[in-house]
Amino acid sequence: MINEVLNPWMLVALIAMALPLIIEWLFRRRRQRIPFPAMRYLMNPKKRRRIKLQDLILLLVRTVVPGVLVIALARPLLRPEAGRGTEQAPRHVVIVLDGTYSMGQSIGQTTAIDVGKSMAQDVVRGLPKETAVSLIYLGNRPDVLKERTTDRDSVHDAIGRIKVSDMAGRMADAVAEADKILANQGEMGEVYLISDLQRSTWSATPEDQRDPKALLAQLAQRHGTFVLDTGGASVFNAYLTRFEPKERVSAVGMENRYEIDIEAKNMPANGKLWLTLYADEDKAATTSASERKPGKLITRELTVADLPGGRATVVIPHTFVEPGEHLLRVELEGDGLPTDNQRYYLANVPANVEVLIVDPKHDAAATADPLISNSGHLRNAIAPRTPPGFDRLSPFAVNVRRPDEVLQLNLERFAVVVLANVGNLNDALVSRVEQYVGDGGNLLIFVGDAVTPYEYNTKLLKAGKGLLPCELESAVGLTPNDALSKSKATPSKAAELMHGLVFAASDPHPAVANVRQMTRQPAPPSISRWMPFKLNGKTGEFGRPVAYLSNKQPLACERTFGQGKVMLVGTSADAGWNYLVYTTEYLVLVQELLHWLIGEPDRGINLQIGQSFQQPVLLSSQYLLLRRPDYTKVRLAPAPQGNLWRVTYDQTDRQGIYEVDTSAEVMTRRRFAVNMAATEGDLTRVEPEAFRRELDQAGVHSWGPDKAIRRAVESRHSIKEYAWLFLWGVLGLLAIETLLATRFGRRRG
Amino acid sequence: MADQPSDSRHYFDPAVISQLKGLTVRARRVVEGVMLGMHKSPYRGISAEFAQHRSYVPGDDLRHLDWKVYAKSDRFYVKQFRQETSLACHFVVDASESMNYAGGGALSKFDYAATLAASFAHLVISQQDAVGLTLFAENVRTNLSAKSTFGHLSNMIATLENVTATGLTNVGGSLGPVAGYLKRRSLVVIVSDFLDDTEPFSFGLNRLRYDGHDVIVLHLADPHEQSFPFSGPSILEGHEKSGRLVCDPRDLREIYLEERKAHLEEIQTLCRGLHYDYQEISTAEPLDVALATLLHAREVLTGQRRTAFA
Repeated sequence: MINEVLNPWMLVALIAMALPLIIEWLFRRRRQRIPFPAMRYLMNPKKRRRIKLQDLILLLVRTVVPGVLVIALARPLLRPEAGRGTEQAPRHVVIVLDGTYSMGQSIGQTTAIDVGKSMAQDVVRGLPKETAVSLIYLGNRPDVLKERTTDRDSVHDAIGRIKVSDMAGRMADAVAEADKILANQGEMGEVYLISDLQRSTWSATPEDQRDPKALLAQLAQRHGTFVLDTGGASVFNAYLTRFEPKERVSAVGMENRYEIDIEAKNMPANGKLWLTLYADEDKAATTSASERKPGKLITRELTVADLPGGRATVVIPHTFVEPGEHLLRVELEGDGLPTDNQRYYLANVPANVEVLIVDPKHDAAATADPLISNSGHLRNAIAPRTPPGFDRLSPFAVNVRRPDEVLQLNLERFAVVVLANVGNLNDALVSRVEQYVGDGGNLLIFVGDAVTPYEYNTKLLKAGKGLLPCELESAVGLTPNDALSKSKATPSKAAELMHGLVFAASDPHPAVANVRQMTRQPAPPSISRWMPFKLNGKTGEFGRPVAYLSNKQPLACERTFGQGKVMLVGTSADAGWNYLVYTTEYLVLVQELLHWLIGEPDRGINLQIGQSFQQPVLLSSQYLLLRRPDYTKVRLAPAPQGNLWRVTYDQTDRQGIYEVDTSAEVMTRRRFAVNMAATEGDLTRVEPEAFRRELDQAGVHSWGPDKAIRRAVESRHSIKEYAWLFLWGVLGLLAIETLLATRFGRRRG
Repeated sequence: MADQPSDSRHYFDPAVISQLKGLTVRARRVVEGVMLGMHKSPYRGISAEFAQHRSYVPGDDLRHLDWKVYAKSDRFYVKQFRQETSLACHFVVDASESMNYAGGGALSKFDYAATLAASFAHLVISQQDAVGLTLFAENVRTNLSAKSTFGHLSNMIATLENVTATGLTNVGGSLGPVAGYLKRRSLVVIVSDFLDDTEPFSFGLNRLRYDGHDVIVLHLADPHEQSFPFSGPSILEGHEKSGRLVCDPRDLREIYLEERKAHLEEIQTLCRGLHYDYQEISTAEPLDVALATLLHAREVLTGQRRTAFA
């Protein structure tokens, strides 16, 4: 509204509005008296009322004309609130652009982020030249791209370069950041928040109780605050929340089952989704046309029926035929927001996962039955023979050596070292194994007749500082043959002689969680002799129990040592102390223990957005170049850590593959995949009417996508003179007066 | 007479007539104007007048046989005569307050009406016809029965001279008593400005119609009443307690003329329905128009009555 006039003294002339009234009054004073007999023709009340009304209308119009003329001569101005003096005072305008990944949703032929960018450009265009502008981009966190600059071109440029983020964000952070910027200046400003009004961005969460609307209300008390809605509907969006192999440890030729968790929101009844797995796309792109190995494509079509409750887990098998690092990508198509429709997985697939069994009885040249040795059954359990025509059953390859040969081996290439009833430990062997485990190797210990508790406790436990996760005690129980014959003689004591394996019911150790599901419960009694152990000592807890005998005594325990893990099984790996080796549970148990010990070798290179990447650098301490998925490059400076150099990178704000530009000799894992957390997958918007009402009550203006933003901003910031409008108004009123007077018969020649 | 203009209409000009004192003089002057140039009056006395011959048929009165024609043509013809009857003309003149108005004319409406009545009475009595007069306002104020003597004419003129127009107009209410006064079928001339409601007037006319009277309605209007020419801020003060209005008359002119036209049309429709003559006469117009209307009506009426052959 008009809030100022240039010549306020002219307003005194508004008294001229009384002129028509005075003229009317003067004329009435000079009335003549006319005797007239035919008054009956003039006394129709209806027509006289009409005449009086016409007179009133004309008098009103005639009264308004001089008023409007005076206002025109006073030169009315429309001046923005912050305007001072005759010139437009510069003000500080903060533009907050929601760049969270929900802004990638389609709106007609364009996307919400493009609409938002266009709105931001319009705001800047509508501002006077000297206005200071700050630009905040809300990705995962608010990022101030421009702060208090009057260079509009640079602001336009910055807006133009904005891309939708791969992360979710909180509008409360952006509002707080805008408040902070304006508070620093201590002057009145304006804040324009451009967003798709997605509920997750605009709502408080259990972790962050701040309500963006309340913050906006506080902001609006000090500064002009506007929320610009980019529009959009609660569109159908499907997204991937997980893409992982079921088998964390794999090898060439082994079928891997990849689990893909899909969630869909607002899926129409006839909606369809297509899920495609791409393997080794990078290699297909880099190899020559003649050797091109296109990424393997496996596509699944999903309908509403496949997604009960809007969720589904799809399992897609894939078998690698070559060793090395493989890139897998899964992509979903058919919804309104493509940003959250893909996930990556980098898998390092060796030809074999090497396991070393240290067996004192091993004789490589022996032609006798290998089952006679300590490790015969164990060897079969670790690497079972694959029947012809079947996929490979186990990723492991076993290497059996005597203890004296171990010192000549490079243990680094073995994923797990198994000590199978190894007695007479020499210090060199112990030291070698300790170094191996400390550097990240894994050790599995089976006891037996050759194992002396005292020796183990002394050389391996070392009062809790060594490898051993428990303090061993003397073996108890009978050999399986004796126990079996005795239990046949006295069946009532059979339960005391032979014990089955028990895994904790409610909270089983992760190493045996799958075993419990995959084997018979209760397990058949098969263990007759075992070596009890204590898990606690004077210095505290040595390790954690993993599995128990049916007499509730722990049979297996584990601990971490350095960067590696150690597990001890309190019975023999062969048939000397148990019949376990003859049961199917034995194979499952050994496989699962090995898998657990090895863990997730690819975990460090398959990250979520926001997680940091950390890898050792082997040769060089020089800067390394990291290529990001958005084609930008970052220099990484290795930092010393222990006897190694490590690089750390925590700005993982884009989904995709990050690659350090170096050789395998410098870094073993040079690539890492970053996937987004699909927390904004539900594109449901806040209820617009209620939201707008709330904002209005808080004094926050809300503009929809159909608002002419540039013009609205211009009108707020530029001084406009409206004298011409009032002059036209005078002419218009005069025309109306003439028209009415003629129509009413008051215009006489 | 040498100073008088040759135009005979000069005698009927109200501006001229208004200069004359006394209704008798005025009436005589008007009558002179009427008689000027008449070489042969159509009114030849009251005796029976020959009309035509027709062949004799058995049964005819032999007294009417024209022997002279028989002598000449040897055929029997009977002489027929037109029978003359005396005309009774009765003036009903409005003497209410509104008739005093003389806004745009030289004569007030009442003066104009009185002059007209006296002039016509003078003419009629000269022809040995009878003339009566009723003056009314809210009620009948004076009634003079129709007579054909010059003494009665003087009496009638004196009555018209001595009356003052005052009181409310009630045309319809006055016609009832007038119908009671008339003993035989007459020509009733109603002279009024008719600033009254039409419905009672309608009843009055119907009563006269029922009694078989012929009626001429002369609607007198002042030129100011006809054109409503006033302008400027004014206070219009009505006659006969019709109110007071503060206005600019220019604003009301259109409405006034519309309302007046509607009222006149109402009266005209009423008269047309009863086959009565209606004539609106401005007081600015020469009296001959009104007189001609009356004379024409008299001639028609007397002609009609003389068609009854003896």
